[in-house]
Amino acid sequence: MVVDRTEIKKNSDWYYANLDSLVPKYDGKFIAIIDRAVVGEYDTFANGVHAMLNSGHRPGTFIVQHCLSPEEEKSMYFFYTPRMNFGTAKA
Amino acid sequence: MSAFLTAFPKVVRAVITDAGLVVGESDSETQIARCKALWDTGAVTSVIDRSFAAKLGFSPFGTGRAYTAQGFYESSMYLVDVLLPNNIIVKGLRVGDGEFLGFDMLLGMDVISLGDFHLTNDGNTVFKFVIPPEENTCNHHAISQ
Repeated sequence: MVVDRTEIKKNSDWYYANLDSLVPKYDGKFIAIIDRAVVGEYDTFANGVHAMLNSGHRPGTFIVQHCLSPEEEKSMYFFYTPRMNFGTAKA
Repeated sequence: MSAFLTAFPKVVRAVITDAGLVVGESDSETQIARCKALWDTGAVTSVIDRSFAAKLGFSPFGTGRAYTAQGFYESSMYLVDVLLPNNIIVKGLRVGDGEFLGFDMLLGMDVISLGDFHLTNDGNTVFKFVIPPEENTCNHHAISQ
């Protein structure tokens, strides 16, 4: 299934643009976002995704974000391996 | 306890084993897409190859920033169940995406920390992974001497 990523990009951009106000409210939680608005908060990514799908939302129409400050996100999703160059080049 | 052991014919610089990703269920049977996985203690979380995720029809359910020493890049986030070589399925993993050559996914410390990671290189590389972790009987005092 090919998913249109337009809404994912819009919701992601909104999430990062509003991080300063979201983190104090949802710090550490997984938040579901639809149409640039938070519609739910969950303890795990899987719980958030399953809740949204079970509510009838199609893939691509929502995102579930781990609401963390940039410093916390960096510690949660860091790659120390120097030979790995993700995103732009092959290993 | 469940374990698997992979003996490579020589000393290797990258530990790559068979693995799998759950792609669906039919008639109560789990459907698996077989793949090659690099075990990487330098990665905090696991990552799937972007083109492999597209080939399997996986949908991104979020985004994130993946940080490296060079900075960060925007990553899509997927929800996957990973089949390890000992037929244990790690469910509900949140994985990012990247571009790889020679393997389909990277198993990071989110998976590795679920068990014991053994690597020996006496003439050839032997990799063993035991899950759940065994009791820690290591005598740190003796090692430091």
